[in-house]
Amino acid sequence: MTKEQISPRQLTFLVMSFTIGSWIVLPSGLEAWQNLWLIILLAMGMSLVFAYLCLFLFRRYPGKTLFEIHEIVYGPVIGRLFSLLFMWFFLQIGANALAVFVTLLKTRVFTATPDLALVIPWVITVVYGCRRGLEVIARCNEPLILATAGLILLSVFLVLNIMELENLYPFFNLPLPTVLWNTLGISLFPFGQNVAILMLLPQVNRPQKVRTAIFWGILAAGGLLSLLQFLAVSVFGKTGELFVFPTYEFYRMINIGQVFTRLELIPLLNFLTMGFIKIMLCLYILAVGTAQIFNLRVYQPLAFPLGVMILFVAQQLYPSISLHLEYIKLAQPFFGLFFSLFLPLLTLGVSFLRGSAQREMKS
Amino acid sequence: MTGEGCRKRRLTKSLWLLLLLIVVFISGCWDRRELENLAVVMGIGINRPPEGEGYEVSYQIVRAAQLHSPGGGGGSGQDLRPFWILRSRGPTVFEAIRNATFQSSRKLFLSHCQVIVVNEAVAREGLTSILDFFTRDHEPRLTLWLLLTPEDPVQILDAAAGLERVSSQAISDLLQFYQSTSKIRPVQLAEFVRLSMARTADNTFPIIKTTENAGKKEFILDGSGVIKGDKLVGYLDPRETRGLLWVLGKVKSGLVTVEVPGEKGKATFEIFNSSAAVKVQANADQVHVKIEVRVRSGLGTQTTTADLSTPDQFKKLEKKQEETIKGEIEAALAKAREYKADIFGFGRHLYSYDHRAWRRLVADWERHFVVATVEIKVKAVLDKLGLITRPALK
Repeated sequence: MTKEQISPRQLTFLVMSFTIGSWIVLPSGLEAWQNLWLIILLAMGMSLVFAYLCLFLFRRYPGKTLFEIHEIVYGPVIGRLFSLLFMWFFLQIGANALAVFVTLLKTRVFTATPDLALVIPWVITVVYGCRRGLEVIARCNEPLILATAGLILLSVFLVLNIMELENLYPFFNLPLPTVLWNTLGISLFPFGQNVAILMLLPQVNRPQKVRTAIFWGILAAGGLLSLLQFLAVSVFGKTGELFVFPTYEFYRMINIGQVFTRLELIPLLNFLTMGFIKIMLCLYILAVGTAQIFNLRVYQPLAFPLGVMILFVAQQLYPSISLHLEYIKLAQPFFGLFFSLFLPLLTLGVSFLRGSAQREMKS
Repeated sequence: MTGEGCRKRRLTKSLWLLLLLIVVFISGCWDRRELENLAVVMGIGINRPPEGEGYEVSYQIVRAAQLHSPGGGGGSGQDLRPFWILRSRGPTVFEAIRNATFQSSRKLFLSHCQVIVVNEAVAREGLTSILDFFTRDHEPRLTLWLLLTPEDPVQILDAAAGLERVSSQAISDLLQFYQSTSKIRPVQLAEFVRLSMARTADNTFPIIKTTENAGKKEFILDGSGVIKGDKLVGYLDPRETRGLLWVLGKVKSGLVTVEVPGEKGKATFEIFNSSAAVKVQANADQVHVKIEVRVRSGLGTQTTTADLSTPDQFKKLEKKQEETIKGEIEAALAKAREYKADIFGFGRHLYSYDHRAWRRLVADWERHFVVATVEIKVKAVLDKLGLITRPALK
């Protein structure tokens, strides 16, 4: 397989898109609604710690993807088993993102359009992008993430006349366990999902810059999400809890001199572009991962069947919005805990234990 | 060999072209709705039907063609007013709205709806069951204006709109320019939702009535209804409504008329600006509220002949104005206490700035609100005279 190269800056942008991805539409941690923007910042700090732990793995095995590391650490059989587990995780991330977008489009915009009419063109586009390779995804991501960041920053000016700072009070009126639990929850989703990026790291052309690139990516993504949440709370106050898509709804309140009203296009654009990149990246990682597990030379033929698989998993996992919300609240943190934290740490631990053996093998 | 490859490539190319062509021709929204197939609803009225079960919803639907045609009324015996009034019934508001398609040849489109007028009898039984649909559905906006009426809402929607062509538009404009008197408190759907989600806040809705002017039925805004939880419990007159607005810091303009001290006659001041600072303290079980209102105003007119332009007179008049404003606030406060409705948002203030005390008092907030000691301070600044210094009299 010829190796495609991306620059550290492109990696930063990819991390941003991947993090902003689906959380921007369907936020988690709504119990802490009024303080969520602060909790995002806390969670960002926590996730930086997690990210550095995961990056230890990369530093120990430079030039190896997560799946290759598995095989080195656990041996070919158990290693592949772990990799297959991770495949499920990545598949689930992609399906989750796809389900979120279908739900959003169906409830807000195309209410009478059949699911498949929305999903099939989407999957075809994603598969096409995925077959073109990482370089194309990364380059396509650059304008999209910049546009998203720009639009979120622009939103600050759009809501200036309707935001009320009193809506932000009280700060931290929550019991400590709720704060901690939600911080952990958000540091695992969306931030923890970045464990998938471990699959791309060998393709960065300057490996020594990887750490700073990821650092800035997480920082920027956390900043943008926190800002967006800040705006939503300052516009809506406690009301925001009520909505299924709070970060979308507050754009409906925008009214600048009766001229600029109903700017729902802005969040829709953000959501669609970020979701597009996220699903495409998931599919790419899935395809490349499968190719690695089964020692295939090319991954391109896998893109289409895996894309269809994401589609079906999305339909099967989230049959209704009420189940989806329940999943976000109850299942997601544990799921994330297992894949984003426990498994990489286990791998790291085992690799340390076997460290001496490793060095002998090399020499 | 190469020829075959070439042909194959050409085939793929033409296939792609075909795909692109398909995209061009089959594009479009699945559920697109053209303007000529829509009944654009501008205003909605909600009433209880005579049988007492379910809801009777009335609509003001614009006739787009008549909206901009000059003359409007001139037709060949046909009713060519720029709007059409329709009503329908159903066990829930949503079903009533859908039932309108029995009469309307087009499906109702709610995105441009400006006002919802609710009959008071319905409001006494609770508003959440009505307004839930308007927050849940994707068409109506959260910036809808909400009003109450003692009459049948159809009367309001049907009333002549003065300078506008459609009464809902006129009502919406009236509410937006509430500042000229500051004796109306306009409420949007978003505000209703916000306040009903707070456990210690109550709300007011403006009240609209019809009145006869030169044989024509027109509408008039008249005071507010006090909404406790989501039920109508009482009324504020325009003066008391402004008393409420002073505390909320929402008085941006308006007039204050006072007796001139030591003279026979009155003076009217125009308010240029006002601001309010509310502080709520809770010591043990006693809630103490400090309200400080600052007003800047200018002399608008006087009915006495005295020269009011001296600094000495200004002082006196400021004092007098302060008393009047304080009186308005006290009147509103007395009403709020009578209805046990925290329309001033003292509870919300506590929620935001002293959360611990709020949590202690929230269970019995009604009682704490009624017995709360309220300290009202008004600081009026008079700094304009208009174009003349004294009345034009020798």
